[in-house]
Amino acid sequence: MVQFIVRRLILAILSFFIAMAIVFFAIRLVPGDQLTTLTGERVVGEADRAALKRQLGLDAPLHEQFVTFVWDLVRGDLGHGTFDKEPVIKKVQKRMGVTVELALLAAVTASAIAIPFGVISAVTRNSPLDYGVRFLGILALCVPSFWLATLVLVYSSIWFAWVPTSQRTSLLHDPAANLEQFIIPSLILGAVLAGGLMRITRSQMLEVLREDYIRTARSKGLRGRTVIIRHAVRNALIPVVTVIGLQITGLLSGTVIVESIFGLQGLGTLIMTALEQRDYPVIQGVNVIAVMIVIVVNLAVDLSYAVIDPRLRHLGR
Amino acid sequence: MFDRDRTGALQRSVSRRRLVGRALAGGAGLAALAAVSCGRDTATRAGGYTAAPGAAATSTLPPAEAPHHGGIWRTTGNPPSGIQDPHYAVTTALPQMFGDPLLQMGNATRKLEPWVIEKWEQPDNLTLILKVRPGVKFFNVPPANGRVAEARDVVYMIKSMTGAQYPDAKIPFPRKDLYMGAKDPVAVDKATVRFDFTTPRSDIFFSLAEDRVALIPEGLREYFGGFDSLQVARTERLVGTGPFLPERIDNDAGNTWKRNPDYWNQPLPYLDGAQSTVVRDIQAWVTALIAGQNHYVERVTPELVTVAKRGLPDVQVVTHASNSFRRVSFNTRVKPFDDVRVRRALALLFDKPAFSAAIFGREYWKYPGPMPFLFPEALPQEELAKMPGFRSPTDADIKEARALLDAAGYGTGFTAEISAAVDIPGTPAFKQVAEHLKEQVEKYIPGARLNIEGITYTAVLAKITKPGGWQMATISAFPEISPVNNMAVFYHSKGSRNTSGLQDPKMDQLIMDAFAEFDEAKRTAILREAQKEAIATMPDIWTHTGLSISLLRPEVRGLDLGGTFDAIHSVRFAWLKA
Repeated sequence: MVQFIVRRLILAILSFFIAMAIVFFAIRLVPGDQLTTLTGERVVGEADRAALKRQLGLDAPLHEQFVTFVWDLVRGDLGHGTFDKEPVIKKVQKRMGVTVELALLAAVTASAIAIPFGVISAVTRNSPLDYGVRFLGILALCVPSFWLATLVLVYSSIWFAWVPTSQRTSLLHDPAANLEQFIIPSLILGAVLAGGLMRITRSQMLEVLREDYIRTARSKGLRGRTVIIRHAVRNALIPVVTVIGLQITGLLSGTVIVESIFGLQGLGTLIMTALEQRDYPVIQGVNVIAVMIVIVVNLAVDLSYAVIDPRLRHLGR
Repeated sequence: MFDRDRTGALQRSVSRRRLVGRALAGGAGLAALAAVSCGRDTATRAGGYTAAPGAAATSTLPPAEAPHHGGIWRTTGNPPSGIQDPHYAVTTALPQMFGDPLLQMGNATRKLEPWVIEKWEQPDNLTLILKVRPGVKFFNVPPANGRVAEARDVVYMIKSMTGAQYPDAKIPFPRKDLYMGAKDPVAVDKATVRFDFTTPRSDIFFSLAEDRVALIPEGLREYFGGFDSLQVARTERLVGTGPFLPERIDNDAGNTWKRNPDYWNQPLPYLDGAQSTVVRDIQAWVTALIAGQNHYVERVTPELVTVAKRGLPDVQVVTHASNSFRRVSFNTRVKPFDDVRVRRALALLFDKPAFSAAIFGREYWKYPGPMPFLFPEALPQEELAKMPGFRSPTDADIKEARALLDAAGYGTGFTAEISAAVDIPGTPAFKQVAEHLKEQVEKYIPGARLNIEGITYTAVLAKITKPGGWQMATISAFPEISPVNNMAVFYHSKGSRNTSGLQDPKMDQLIMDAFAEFDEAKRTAILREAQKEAIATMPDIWTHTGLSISLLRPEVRGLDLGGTFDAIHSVRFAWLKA
């Protein structure tokens, strides 16, 4: 077991540094840098350009910049924003709450929609109800979140003269106002996620419903509802929960557009602004956090599988 | 990806025009909009720009309504970008809130009025004496602690803009062109500033009226740690004389302001406070306007006007000259665009009327030229309309384009690359500009091929600010406040925004002549000649321009909308009808 954990940890660290190298070099492949943001369309002489590059730390060879970045990272220093000089870690801390809340609410919404409908769809397989639910599931998969968000904003403003406020209110300070701000974006994100989740729930349920223990439960004379809820759903949900976990991980770095449309100041809008301004330390810092989350979640999943299923420990060797 | 949709721009224009047509048929809103646009345009043309010493500061309030105090001004917008120092930011909206310009300029009328500078004298063409208005007080916070503004503060402000205050700083000082030809100002006494010039600057009053800067107390940067201490806005560091006191400055989320009760120019401001929120989506700005969370949205499309009118039937729709200057810039240092005949040939083929109408709508476009049409000195629209290269290409124009290319040695064609930003939505239409030019050139010039390089706008800027490595690029810019300066920065051989690298002694001379000409009519004539010289040398194709459409909530009054500045320019005059 120890060997399995060590192996996974080494792989996680390796993955982390490979991801960091990709982030570091990929952003520098894109034309334009902080200097461009600073000078705009003004023609700057070569001497001034060189001095500005020195000021911004862009004059060193790329490999030296990378080594500095990695060394700072090892020391836990994510750097400072180029323009506002604010520590990147502080920027991320300020924004993290918004994105986490949005991601969790979206996951709850997605689960609340997808699990019951997925179960109903499986239980009523090939009925009109099943077709209807499956159609809605595919529709949810096809509809992009930005389109839905724009539609909801436009029509809620026209019909009800209301849109969610973009002034941030803390959940602890005023839960009602906070929910008012988050409910629509999380419903939209949740609805879009629900499509895929519902299809997974349905297929898992269909598989479980064919199992011998379900037949046994039925033959024992248990009521249909008890068989479904106590025996089938609980077993079918194991992979579904895994997918929800992965979706939350994805949402933490994937809510850029919805955050932008609803004026939510989360990690998505932070990285978007940083990309526009070529603010390398912020881009790298947010990616460090995102990659760490993904790696830690995956590591936890790997380790939990090993705990649950002893066969994996041996396969892992 | 571009080849697949080569005719995109004009085809899209058809559907856009249909959409506008339906909107016109469906309601009176856009018809009213067209009427308003005509009126505003005429008003802009009527405006001169002679300064009026001693005149009282006025706002642009409708005469029939008396303004009153109260209410919070709400806006939504993009987050600030880059440096925010009130003297060396490329663009920032903060100075208009916490600060004051030296002179005040009507955004629509372009009339200049005294503001922090109360009076002035010009003993000769190379000297200017400015008198600071008594009683203009800084905020009662350190380091100014409520003291009155003095000449030394004006000197500090101007030297910070030109870079003279910080000779070792290598930032580009984007406002330094405002004081081109001026020596460092000197504080003669507490209230008097003396300006000496190496070359005459007939347009210097415009520089003094630049409103994207603010008067701050001398030594403010040094008090907070040095020349870069104001590059990021922080609540306690915004110390000015302006109408609003900063309450919370948060670059990520937005800002809140409260009325400055000690503002020197009472009864301004009328608003109790202001609140801006960072939202990146223009449609969300319009829906927030409908829902009462936003008072004003600018540069909206006719489609968004329709949405706004459906949700808020009495929304105010105002059109005015656009303050964007959109063009294809040629790199005149490299082949084939080092030959003016090639540049002229391509310009002849770009269908400006059709393209402008496609982007702005049939009712809202104007002929684009080397000087944005918001300036009264710009070549008249009717004159541009008749010129080859500005009218839609005729058979004769196409024939001439072919002949020019033949004479330049490219009669059998050429291959060139145009860099176009693909990440900026809306009326800049960078990608569509490139697509239209490619379509026209490849259609009419046998063997010619234009390759489109679709990149981000930041990447385009990175290219065009270097002498090599690019041939053509689609770009946009805000014009300078002064028409002379506008020609200078874009077309003088040493202009700070002369990205095309144009080196034209005649143009340089005309610009210097305009700087030196204090007679307004004669200066206008020189500037028009300079524009014709720009058309002859064609460093750019000026692609499209139109009217900017702004939406205001029904209760908004007093906002001075126009071509030069964004609306925030005049929030100090705004008030909300109960």
